[in-house]
Amino acid sequence: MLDRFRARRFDRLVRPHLRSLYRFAYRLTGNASDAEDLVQEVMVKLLPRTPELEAVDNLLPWMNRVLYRLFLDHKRNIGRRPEGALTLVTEDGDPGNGLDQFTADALGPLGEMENDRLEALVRSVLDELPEAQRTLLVMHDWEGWAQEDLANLMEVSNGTIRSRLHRYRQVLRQALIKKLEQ
Amino acid sequence: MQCHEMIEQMDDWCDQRLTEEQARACARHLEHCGDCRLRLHAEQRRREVMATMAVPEPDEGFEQRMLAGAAGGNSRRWSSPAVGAAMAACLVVGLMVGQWMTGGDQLAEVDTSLASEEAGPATQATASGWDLDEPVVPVMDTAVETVRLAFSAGEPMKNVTLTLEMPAHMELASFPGERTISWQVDLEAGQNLLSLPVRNLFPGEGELVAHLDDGERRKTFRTPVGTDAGHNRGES
Repeated sequence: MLDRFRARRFDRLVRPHLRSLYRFAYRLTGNASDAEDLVQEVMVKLLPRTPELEAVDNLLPWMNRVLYRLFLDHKRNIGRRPEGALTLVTEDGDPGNGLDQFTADALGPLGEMENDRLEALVRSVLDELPEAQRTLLVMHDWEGWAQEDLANLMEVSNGTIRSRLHRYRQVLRQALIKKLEQ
Repeated sequence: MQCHEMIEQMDDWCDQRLTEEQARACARHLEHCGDCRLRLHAEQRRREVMATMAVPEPDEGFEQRMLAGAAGGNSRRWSSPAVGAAMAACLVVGLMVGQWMTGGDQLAEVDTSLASEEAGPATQATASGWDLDEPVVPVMDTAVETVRLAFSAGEPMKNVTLTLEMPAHMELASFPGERTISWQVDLEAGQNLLSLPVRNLFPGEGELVAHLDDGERRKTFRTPVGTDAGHNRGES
């Protein structure tokens, strides 16, 4: 017979974190249905590992990492958004950093734009970014992960995360400018 | 410092990752460069807005769905709708427990129905007069059925222990060999829907037994499941 108390222990452990987990999943996937499916995948995966969960000090970051890896596996499997789908460069081929194109005229509306409008703009640009770029920006700039934690999770150096963030923000800023011009 | 240097360091400035010396140099530049102040302001606004973008909360049944799904190995698909087309027959079991919750010792009526579903995700079915809302759609392989349990409670109930016992010809899909599972649920007032993926090991009939225990009372419900269970609809 299945350990009848395992599910109860599991419930007690994970229930307080489910909504945070969902929010992270939502930010990664961009919609409620996929977010819920992803959290469900995590739950299915973790229930048999209940004893292991009980030994984890800080469970939410630990589960976030599991969720992220599942998200990544899924993306690899279905190849949702090809890398480089949105790579903006300047005319001379230099990716620039986006900020140097911000003239006072362009910055005025962006800097003073009301929150709702700016948020809609950012969301729409994020949605068009290649998956890897979107994911890193979501995790750092939206979800608030520290660069060191991201480096650890993605098994790259801190410098790599820093330089990727730098580049991906360039793309984001350039895309914002482009949207503003439309 | 020139503008291009300031621009180059603006991300690190915002991330507070500059050395003291670099930060001082940036601050001096910002004091006299209106364009860079505007750039910085725009980038900070972008970050502020992004950091506070709201995520819509899931509905009230979210936790229960997730935990019940995990306990039943119910892996909601999150990719191809074509998976739904491969779903095997879907067994819909309605266990009416409302009377128990509200009517003292009056035992709940148990009603079963078998909804055959050759293609597409589970659709609405009626059990004991309820319309079941769009249920959780699990990943299915051809040998797996989803037993859906509809509990209608007269009032919210916290931490009710639900134990399910499969008949001999069934096992829990994600736990081969396991035919009994027990976990805690919160029942909301009104309808509560749980999905439980099970695998039919061989053709057969039997009883699915559900126990509900709120710590003071324990009620047991039995319902026929199996190849011919559908023909029993309305006969129980």
